[in-house]
Amino acid sequence: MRLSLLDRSRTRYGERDSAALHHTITRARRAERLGYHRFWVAEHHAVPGIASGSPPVLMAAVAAATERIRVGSGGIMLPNHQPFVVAEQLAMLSALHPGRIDAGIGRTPGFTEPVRQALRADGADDDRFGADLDELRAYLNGTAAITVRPRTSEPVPLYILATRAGLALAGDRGLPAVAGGPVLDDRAALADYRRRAGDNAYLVVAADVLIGHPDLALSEAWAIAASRTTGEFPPLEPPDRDRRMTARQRGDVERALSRTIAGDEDTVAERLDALVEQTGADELMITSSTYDLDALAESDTRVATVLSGVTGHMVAG
Amino acid sequence: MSPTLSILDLAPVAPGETPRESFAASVELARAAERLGYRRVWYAEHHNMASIASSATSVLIGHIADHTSTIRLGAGGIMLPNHAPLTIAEQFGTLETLHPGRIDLGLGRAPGSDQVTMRAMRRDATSSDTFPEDVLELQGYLQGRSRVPGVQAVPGAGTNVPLYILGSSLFGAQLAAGLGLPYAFASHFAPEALHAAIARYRADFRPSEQLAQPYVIAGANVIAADDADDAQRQFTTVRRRRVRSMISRQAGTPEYSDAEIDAFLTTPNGRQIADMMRYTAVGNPDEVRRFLEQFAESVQADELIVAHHAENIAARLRSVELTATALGIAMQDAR
Repeated sequence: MRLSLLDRSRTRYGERDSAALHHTITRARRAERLGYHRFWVAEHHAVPGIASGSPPVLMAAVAAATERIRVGSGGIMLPNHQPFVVAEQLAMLSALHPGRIDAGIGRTPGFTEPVRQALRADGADDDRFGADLDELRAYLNGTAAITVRPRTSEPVPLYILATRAGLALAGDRGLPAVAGGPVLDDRAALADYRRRAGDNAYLVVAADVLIGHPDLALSEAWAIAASRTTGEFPPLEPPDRDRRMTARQRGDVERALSRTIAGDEDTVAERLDALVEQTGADELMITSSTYDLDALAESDTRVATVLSGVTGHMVAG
Repeated sequence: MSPTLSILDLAPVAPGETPRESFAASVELARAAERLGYRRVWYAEHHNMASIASSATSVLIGHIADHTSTIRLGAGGIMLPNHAPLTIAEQFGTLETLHPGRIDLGLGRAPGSDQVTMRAMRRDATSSDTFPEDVLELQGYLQGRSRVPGVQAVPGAGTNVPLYILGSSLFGAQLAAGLGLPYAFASHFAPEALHAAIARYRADFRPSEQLAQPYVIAGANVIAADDADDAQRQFTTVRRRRVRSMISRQAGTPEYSDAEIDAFLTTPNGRQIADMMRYTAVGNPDEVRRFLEQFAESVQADELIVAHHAENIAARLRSVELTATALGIAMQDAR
């Protein structure tokens, strides 16, 4: 089974935001060495704790710093952009790095109304997303009235970041889907996707996975809980078991922890086996991060090893 | 004294070349510019044009920056009406974060494309009406003093990427003057208002945090070759190519022949198109130096930004080398 990484360029307490982008590039180089299949960055706007505001520019930097690994974004949030501009960015990346560029297309708009206005984004209803997606595909496939330059020999592969509605939409178009979180428990929705997509069905399961001390997962869990209270994603902090929290924050932390697969090799292998069994995943995309960069590097390495042992699957070479 | 010299790389795709070859040539050109002492290399934004590969400008800048180490790189320019100011702040904020102290951002208000493409960009004829406000919004993001409550550029806030106003009319001159920003005039393809616009810019200039004195960059074309006749011959080829791309026939019919193009160039419309390249230095290194020095003198330009045209990639690189040597910019750095 293919194994991939998504890195959200999280900032870290006590570090300049700029360091986050360099950490992302370092992590991509390591992922390539470890045999990960693809490395994706993310798109977040006006979120101080996340430095990936411009996926295409960051993708260019990651692709230039690596040689073989596939590079993409999970995602490019289509309601925030003109499909034509996205197509040009992908075409240029693909011309510079032939056969290495992917795009994960999502429909999450900016978090707040001022951000949506600043992005000149005008809503994200289902019809509009489907139409924008089809427009983007037409540009990339060369079937649109306008030619996107530079022309590339092969269209950039698109993946749909799927909620329930997104799964059906991806399935109807025969596109691969990326799914994570609660939707993975919805067997009917996953089966419906496979039925709609037919032979083209390809499910990438996104999961937070950390091998090492179980407390590694506390960094992100606390950030999520804090963001619910303050509306701002704080930089990652070292795990702190004794942190004073409100009852609500504690609940948020526990919920976030329950969604993270963290622990030693045996624990992680068992839970990943179950996850793959339950979802029929064709590919696993690891989306976790933690404050301690050495621990994160160690985890990425150990995950690559463990995945080669998950029932019936091999790490992509 | 010779002016500061920079390059505008239009990332041309010559007939028979692929975009990939064009980008590889852009990397080589930027490396040569860095070695030879050019001040900066800028890349343009063009859409839906077969002969020009630079569409997603910020992605191209990132690629070039990763393959060079010191030279300043920038957009010349981003056509701001095509984009959300926040998106541009994030793109150039990311570039500046990855390549500190090397990134410029030139801003224009032309669509850089045709009507059909403009619709695909979800823009219309009124999109450029808010250009001054859009520039201020963008500047606020980059300075870390956002004018939009609750919104900041991450990355971007506080990177202070220097802004330049690009223009070919009095409008841009007044805007650049009023905001106290450097002004780059597109005399390499729209020379008509050059002198009037620069005079207005200097007269109306108001100092700003970024700039105490007016700073004028003037655009010109260069075809420098070891041999003057060879340069003239290349100029003829380049001019025919340009005219052909501007008056191309309907798809499916054969392109105009050289003889047809030359005949067209003698008509009033043809002369008008030819005049777009009024400021073009063609010749051996001495001739090119004399032309550029006189041109810079005539508008008191602080800097010239030069698009090197040539019939192929090798000749383009040679033109870059010869011009640098002729104007002695490598020595300027040593002084």
